[in-house]
Amino acid sequence: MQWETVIGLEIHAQLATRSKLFSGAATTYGAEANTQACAVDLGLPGVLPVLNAGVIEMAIRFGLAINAKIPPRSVFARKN
Amino acid sequence: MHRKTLAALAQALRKKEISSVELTRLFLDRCQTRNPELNCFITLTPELALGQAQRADARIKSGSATPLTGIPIAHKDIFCTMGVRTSCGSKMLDNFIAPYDATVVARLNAEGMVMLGKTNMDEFAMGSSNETSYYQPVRNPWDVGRVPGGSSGGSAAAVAARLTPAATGTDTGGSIRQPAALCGITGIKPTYGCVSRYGMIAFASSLDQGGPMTRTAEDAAMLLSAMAGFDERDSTSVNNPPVDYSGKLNDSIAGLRIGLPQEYFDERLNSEVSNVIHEAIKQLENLGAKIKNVSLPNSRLSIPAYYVVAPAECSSNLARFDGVRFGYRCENPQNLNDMYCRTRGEGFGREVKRRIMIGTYVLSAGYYDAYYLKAQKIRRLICDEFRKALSEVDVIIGPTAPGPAFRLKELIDDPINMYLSDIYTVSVNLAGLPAISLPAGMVNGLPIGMQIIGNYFSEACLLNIAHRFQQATDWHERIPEGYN
Amino acid sequence: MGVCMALDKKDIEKIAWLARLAINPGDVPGYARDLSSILGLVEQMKEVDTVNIELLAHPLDLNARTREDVVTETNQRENFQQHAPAVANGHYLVPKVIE
Repeated sequence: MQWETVIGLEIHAQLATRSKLFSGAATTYGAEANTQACAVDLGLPGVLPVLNAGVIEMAIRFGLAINAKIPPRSVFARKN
Repeated sequence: MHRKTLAALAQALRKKEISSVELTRLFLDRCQTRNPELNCFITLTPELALGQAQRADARIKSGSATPLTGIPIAHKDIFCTMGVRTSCGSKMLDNFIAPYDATVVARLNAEGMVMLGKTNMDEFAMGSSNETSYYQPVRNPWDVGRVPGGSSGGSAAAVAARLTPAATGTDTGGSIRQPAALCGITGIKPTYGCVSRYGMIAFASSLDQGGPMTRTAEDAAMLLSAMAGFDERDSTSVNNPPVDYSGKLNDSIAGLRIGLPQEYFDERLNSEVSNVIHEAIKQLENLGAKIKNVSLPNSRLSIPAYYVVAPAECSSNLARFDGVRFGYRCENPQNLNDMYCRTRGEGFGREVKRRIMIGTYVLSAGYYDAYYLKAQKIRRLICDEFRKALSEVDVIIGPTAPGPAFRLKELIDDPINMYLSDIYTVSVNLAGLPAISLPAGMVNGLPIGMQIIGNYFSEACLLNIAHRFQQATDWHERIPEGYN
Repeated sequence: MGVCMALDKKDIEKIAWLARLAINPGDVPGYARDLSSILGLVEQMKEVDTVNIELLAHPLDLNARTREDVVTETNQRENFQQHAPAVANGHYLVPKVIE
């Protein structure tokens, strides 16, 4: 039997934003534990996430840089 | 004094007939004496209230007061109140002292309102009778053997019994309107996005909406004006220019087109309730309104769709309750999974666990399309149907609930029939429309509510219709025996 | 009425595990009954054809509003942790994860 090797690389890259994905908390590297975890990050009862516009811009830039297609509409889906 | 509306109290304070401290003491006394028999409050906050009242009196004296300054209010225990227990009616949050204020609470505090305490509610807002609370059921002041409705049962009962002049509530499937109807008070669920949900403990994020519960539409307008408005912390909060909801109260309703859905008035509706609503509608016709029959054929699917969407969203929202960062944690957890499972198994009541499980099931692999996706499509149908009807009429009217307050324990072991009591209210949440419930009559000495549904952002119109009705009738002035 | 989705003991146990809810064995039949009847109620959705209908995620079909990438929050660790179940040196304490 012939086998073909296929190697995929799943790369996670932290985006260099000033604030977090869903909140206005700081992202400074090396800060003490939980000093940058705001109410939204802690998921306290009643808090709501607001998406960081900066990450959308970065994601689109990356997509364009690797010649990918940017869909006009994106949705959040929860893995369950 | 306890019988005065917000509008009358505002005047009394302005004219220095009474101080906020005196008014607050009066209501606190009533709460302390009468709460044990009704169980409306989970937490009373007398020291906090008196401090706020003193500051309010100083503001009134210095001329920097607003109409709501110095007036007492009760908050449904679903709103985070900084430094004060916020339990959501659950053992899971029995020890949770909120470290921040909900936007709604912050806004009413900024007006100078005085918080009497946190009202009892169905656990995590899941219920239609206020019987699922960890803190025991609330009783209806009209008949203490009956339920006040839910989930904002504590707020509704407290306002009806005149323990507080007004209260805040939340509505996901009818939880402001149905208890308002069963307790004979006025409650409005605003358009989705009108009132900020930041700090309002989430049940179903695409359905939840906070609103005022008062004795009159005039009062509801005053409160809503302060509660509503854009909030950058809530990304579903609509950025419309601020509205003065009291501005159109006295407008004439001549020529108003009222739609009566034939599906709401079929042979299954209790004939006594039907008579009450038809009499109320005649009053509106006397004021110049015109009646037209409309049809909402998909409204019958609103209960099935709701009982997929709401549990699905709740299973997601309640995933945060795991014993790690706040709230209840089980004793002696053996390992992380044991901590998660026993914390949640012990901290949540039966109805909440039922709904989390239904939600988990309908979102799970293999079932997502058949259930959640299907329900979202039905949601589209229901919404389109309302939009079409509201292009032919200005408002849609019907009963708020299928009957008056039922007896305690009557439906608690019968979830399906309990769910069916939401038949007139859930479709409104699915469509995101605003709707008000106001007292329209009585059946066997128990209040019956009329629901008026309007187009998106038509709250001022709904309040106007309700106010004109309340000027021509006195159902909203009735007081349960023993509470005047 | 369409096919009745009857859930059994194994279904309840699986769902309870997904939801991380400990259920007493004695309560399992009761939950199975309740959930089955709720799913029966929900089966009514099948009565209408929705093949060509677009789903509705937001009543007004609005898109999620975003925020500018600026820091707005301050360190409130003491405030948030003062009522936490178990903390030490700014960390949240939990039992060890099973190997």
